Amino acid sequence: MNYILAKVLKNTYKDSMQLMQVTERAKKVKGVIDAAAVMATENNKELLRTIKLLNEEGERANADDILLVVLATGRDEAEFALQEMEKFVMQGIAAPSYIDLKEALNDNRINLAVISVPGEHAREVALPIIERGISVHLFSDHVSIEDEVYLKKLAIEKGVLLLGPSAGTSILGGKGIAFANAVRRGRIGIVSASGTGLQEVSVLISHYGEGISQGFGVGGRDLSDSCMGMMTKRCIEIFEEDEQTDVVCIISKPAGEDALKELIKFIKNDTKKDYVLCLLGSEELDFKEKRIVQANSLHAAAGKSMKLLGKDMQFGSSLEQLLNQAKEIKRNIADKSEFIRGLFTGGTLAYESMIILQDGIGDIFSNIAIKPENKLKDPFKSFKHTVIDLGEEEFTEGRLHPMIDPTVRNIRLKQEMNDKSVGLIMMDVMLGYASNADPAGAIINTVNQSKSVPPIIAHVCGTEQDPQGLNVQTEKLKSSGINVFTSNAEMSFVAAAAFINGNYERAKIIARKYLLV
Amino acid sequence: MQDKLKELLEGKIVAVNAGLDIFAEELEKQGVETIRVRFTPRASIEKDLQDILDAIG
Repeated sequence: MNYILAKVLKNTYKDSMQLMQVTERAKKVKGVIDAAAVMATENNKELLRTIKLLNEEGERANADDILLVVLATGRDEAEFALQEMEKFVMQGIAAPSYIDLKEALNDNRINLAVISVPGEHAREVALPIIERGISVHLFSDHVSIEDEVYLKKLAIEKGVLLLGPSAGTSILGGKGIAFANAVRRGRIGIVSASGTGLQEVSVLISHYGEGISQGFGVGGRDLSDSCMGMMTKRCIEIFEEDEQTDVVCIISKPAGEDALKELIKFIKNDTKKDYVLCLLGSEELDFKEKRIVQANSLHAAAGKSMKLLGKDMQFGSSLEQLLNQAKEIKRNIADKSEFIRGLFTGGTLAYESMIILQDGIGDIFSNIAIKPENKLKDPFKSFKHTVIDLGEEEFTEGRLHPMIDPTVRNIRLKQEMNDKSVGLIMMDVMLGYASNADPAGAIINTVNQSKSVPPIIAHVCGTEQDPQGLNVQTEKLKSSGINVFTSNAEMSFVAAAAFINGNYERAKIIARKYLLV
Repeated sequence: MQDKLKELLEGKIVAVNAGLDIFAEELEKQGVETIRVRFTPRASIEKDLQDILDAIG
């Protein structure tokens, strides 16, 4: 008989990464069906409750405690596994050596700082680094806008970069910083206010044979009216001087009104190279200059960048191929299963998907809804057509981002697969540095446990050179009957077309807007 | 362009990492020399004083 056991390690702390490693090791112990090692925050306890892994012992744990839980095939197996887990926690993960920042900065060779401390401490860590003339990639969230403006002004004064805050990705001199993919080097430069936006565009460009000179992640608020595109403009200046860059691609969600006017004026008057502007969800802009074009999706941004380089090729699948895929999916959707559920780890990919779906099938509910009235009351429960960004705070408090730890998405995936009203599930699978070692494996383990599964489609954002390997990950998904797409926009278009009630003329208009067909 | 920034963009990177170890590990996998720094938050009163000193310039 299956048996649950829990143990609370009072007032003990390990970081989320160490605890995830304990969980992964525990799952390999003989007789273990499921296991979890977490800080016992309310959020984590709620997740364990959802998957029925929280017993009375676990309920008593507090946020300062580590909670170990194991579900095994019998009492002896559970007891043994729990002892092993405690051993894993106590042994710890081989601790690397650390030195003080002040001491580290004595090394004059240092030219980059990667900072991911809690946001309220980001300024105190970044300030002395920028003052020493060192560029910063600031991954931390929750940095105040005042601190961002202050640090960016200082960085510009010192002639260095402040990439971020909330910068998920940069590619500097061919090296991936934070969540980045192993892409080709080439003649397209990217300035992005979005980490997964930069990943998607750089991966697509690499997939179709070109490459990236530099990829600057400037943080989600750089094109707000507070920051006025300060760092975006600095990066553009760098690209204008850079002999390796011919085309510059700028990626953001809609910009602040003043910041956008300023950016357009700057590009028109102070630049000479070719530009692609991908401001997801923004209105049509009118450029008389042929060297400046707009793109309505990340897919189109990558394709138009290639076109400006003179690479006139078919970028992506043909409209006919995509519509055939949509029709095939439609045939496999059960009669009363009328809703789409999108479970995303990449925030910008979720946003892009909502824009395309909304154009095709109307209201999309979400925790990051485009229209305020479509915001989910409870992000843990889907409603009608729903797209979820699992990287948002409500899912990540006290645990790792879902691009690293797939647990939260697996739980949601189980829920959606059990919901008879769900006709199609769509997901992103993010590969690259710092991402989970086997994200496709995590998905298929969950899918394969379920008896009846609605059609599932996925987009794998990655390259063959990424640590996880594009082909291995793609084949794993396909082996479980999951349809795999090269771009997020193509996946989202096919989802919309499958639910568009046979109105394929409308589908064609959407395809032309977001894909280069 | 400032020399350190030029070297950085040429991929001759020497980095410090403050925070999540995984970012240091991933840089090292790409052959980037990375120094891990210890991060201990300052006491808030000390931070307030520093903010005042920063404001004074």
